Amino acid sequence: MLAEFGSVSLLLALVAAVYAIIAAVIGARRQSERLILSARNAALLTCPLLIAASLTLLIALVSGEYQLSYVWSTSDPNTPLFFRITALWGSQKGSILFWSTLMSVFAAAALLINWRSQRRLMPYVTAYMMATLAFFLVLNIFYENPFERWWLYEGSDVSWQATGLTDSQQSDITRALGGIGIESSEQISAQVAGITCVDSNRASEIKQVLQGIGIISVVETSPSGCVGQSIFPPEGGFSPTATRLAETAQGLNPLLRHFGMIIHPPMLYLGFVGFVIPFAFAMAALASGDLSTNWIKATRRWTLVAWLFLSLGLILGGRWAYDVLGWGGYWGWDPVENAAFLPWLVGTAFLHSVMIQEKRGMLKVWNMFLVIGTFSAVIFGTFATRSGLIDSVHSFARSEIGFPMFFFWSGITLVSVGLILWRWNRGELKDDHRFMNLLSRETLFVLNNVVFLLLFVVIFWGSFGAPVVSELFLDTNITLGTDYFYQVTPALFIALYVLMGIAPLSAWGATSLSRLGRSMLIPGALTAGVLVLILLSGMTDPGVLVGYGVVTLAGFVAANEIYRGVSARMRGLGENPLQAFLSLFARNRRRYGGYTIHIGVTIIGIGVIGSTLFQQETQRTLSVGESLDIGGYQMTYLGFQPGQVADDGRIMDIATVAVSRNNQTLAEIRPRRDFYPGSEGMNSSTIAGAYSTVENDFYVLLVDWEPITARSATFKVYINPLINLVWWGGLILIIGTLVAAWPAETVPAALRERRFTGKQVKARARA
Amino acid sequence: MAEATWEKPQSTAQPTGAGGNERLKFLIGGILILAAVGFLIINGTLSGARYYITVDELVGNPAYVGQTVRVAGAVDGATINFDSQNLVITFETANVPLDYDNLATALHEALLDTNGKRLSVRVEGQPMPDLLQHEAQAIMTGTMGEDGIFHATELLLKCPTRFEEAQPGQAIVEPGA
Repeated sequence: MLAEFGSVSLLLALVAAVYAIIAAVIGARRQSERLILSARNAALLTCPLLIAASLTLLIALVSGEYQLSYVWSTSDPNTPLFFRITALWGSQKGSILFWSTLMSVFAAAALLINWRSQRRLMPYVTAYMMATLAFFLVLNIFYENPFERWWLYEGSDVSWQATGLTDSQQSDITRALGGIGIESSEQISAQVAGITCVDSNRASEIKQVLQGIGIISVVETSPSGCVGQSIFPPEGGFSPTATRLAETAQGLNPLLRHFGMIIHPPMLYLGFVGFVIPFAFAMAALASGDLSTNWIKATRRWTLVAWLFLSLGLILGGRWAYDVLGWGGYWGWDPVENAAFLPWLVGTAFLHSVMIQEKRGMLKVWNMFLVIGTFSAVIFGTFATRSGLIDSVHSFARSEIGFPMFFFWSGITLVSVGLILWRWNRGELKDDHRFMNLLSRETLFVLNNVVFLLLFVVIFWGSFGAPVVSELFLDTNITLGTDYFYQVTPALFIALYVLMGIAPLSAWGATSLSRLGRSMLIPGALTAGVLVLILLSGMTDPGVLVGYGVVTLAGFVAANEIYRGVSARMRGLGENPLQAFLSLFARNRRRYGGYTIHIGVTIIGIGVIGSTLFQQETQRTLSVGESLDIGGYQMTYLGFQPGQVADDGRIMDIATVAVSRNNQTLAEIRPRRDFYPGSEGMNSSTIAGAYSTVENDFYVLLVDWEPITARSATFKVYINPLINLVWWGGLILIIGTLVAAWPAETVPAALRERRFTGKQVKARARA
Repeated sequence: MAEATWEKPQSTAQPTGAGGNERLKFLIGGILILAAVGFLIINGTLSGARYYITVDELVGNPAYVGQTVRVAGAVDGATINFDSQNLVITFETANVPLDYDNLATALHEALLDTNGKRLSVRVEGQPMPDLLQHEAQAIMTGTMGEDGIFHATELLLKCPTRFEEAQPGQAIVEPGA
């Protein structure tokens, strides 16, 4: 019942989405209000339908409907409720459904919020959003359907001798089988090849075809029990009993049972899905010919929201890796991580350069490319990581969706670039101003864009470009290791921080060097102070000094700008510091939210440099009562508790160690090994224990212990300096983004900005 | 007035050409940036490039001795040995092709073939990875030593049974039938 309901909801959502596309496009062409409204209603309808489908799967997961193969493979009777819920996005099929649902929610919100103000764009926005949604629904229905059920049926096997076949015979077989619609022969063993579980007519057909091309040793076995998953039952198929299925169910992958993994995927999806909206508006602007800044005004906040979720997803992913994967790090330059970072880079470039278009009417084409590039990177990332294009530790199943995704990705990219070129060619995307001066805010913003895009190119090449190019053209398989990224990216990140320090101080049009120098005075002096402190602490490495110098300078510039704003209000309006601070932020959320983000990024930078360059590690076997020394700390092995059973059935072996410094005990931490008795394959996971302070993390892994008595145990210990700044900086970044994206009060945005910016400029001139 | 500098009325904002001097500066700046990044990429690619090869290609091929490569193999569970005192992991891997239809089957078959080439691997200074077990796919970066042992510095593991479609198997067939 549940399975049917879910499938039907999905199918109806697809029908509604396709109808909305057609009605919106025809309605816009014929200027038919009725059709356009009808398209809007159909588009809105996808939202409740998909929520219903998701809820159906959720109910199936919570109530343990193991006849559904998705439920069977992501939960078992021991799985606690919490992980039953999160299993909704725990595997490919469910996560595509979840993704489509989030997207329809975003689409509905955009339709409801922007409908009145952007009438001319909305039909096309509807069409583009629904086209994207329809594509994911097609994947969800025809390729990766979470509502498939297990069926038992009688099927025959056909097998033949595989040893001694020549290459040409092999290709004959492939071709002959392809001719009757069988993709590739499923291997049975090294000596025998065959096709299993087909009905008896099909079996004789295969046998005939094979004998027809001269393969004589074909054996057809009589029908026996087969298991398969599909939406509709195979001929003569029946459902297996629920209890038997429950006994063999798989349970959620142990690695995914962590809070970071639970919220990290939805956040990333929200970020990915959110970029659909700016993309749809940009495309609508191109299609409708309304190329004013309307589309930018309508999507500014949507872009920030998407960016917020994407940033949060990236930070939580790092935190998950740090807590669960047990290698003492949080970012490994793995292709899948990079695939999520790439849209972030283009999206961040877009967030900056869009300001130039709003203020100066420049970079119109460039912004179009960036917003389309962001969405294209989102789809490419999804394609690359889910199709098995690249080998990565993040093993999603290799699946059939690779080809359709690639098709969709190249389709949207080609169409959008084509539209831009068409409008450009007609002279409709001409800039109002030109670049006049190297030291102007617009030039510095463009430089910032260039650096973001260069980072994109460099990381793209390292993760996808080099492996794919070498395979296609050089007939070898070359991958680039982490040392490539450590060699190439730091210079670009440093350039980014330098620009982050200078750009906020520059003015539109032109800035004189002396004025720039004057506004750099205070932040520069503070940075020099920090560098002296670092030197005094005994660190003389020039690379480290440069790194910390540019990173802290950027932070001080942002903090100083906030300080100046606050003190100007205190002087001019007689407000107290808190009042001044709050109203400063309230009056110009975007600007000061942006500075807050810069401070967050600075703090992340300090944490990244510290934890990357100054990590210490050691390993030792300790008997109970023995200690080891590392980085001024002492760690003592206190005891062991074997076989502790947790609620979800996992068995924990826990060691207790004490961390002390200068003979003072700071904390007791409990690194452990979890064992999952029910799971096949990977069935244990090493969970680190950590003692966290601002200064560092004392991070301990339980490696091994003496059987039974555990009188001695082996530990691997990391000291990760400043690593917590990465998470705290992340938090500040999130707060800053929330400030910048928060809905404004009723004063029309354009008016308020004009008034306020005017005051700003005057205030600065006075200062 | 300050206002004029930050927002001009559209009508007066005629595109005015940048002076030739400025344009040249932009051009030179752009070329310098591209050259620097081009150099970084080429340099990084040359030093970071790892041939990604199979066990068959690596074993007994003197060309790869001493070179840093990336190799994929199927882990033989019976050969895994972990010296926890010194954190030394050793195990053997069998050849798996880089392209396959189904990873689980490919790994299973690789280990059934007892006559094929085997690669002995040694990893130092790492705790025992949770995923290192029979029929896992190991993707290892390291160098082939003169001793015929592959010294891996990076070890990635995949256990396909956990990630790819598993089936309930015949166990559920009999009682239901």
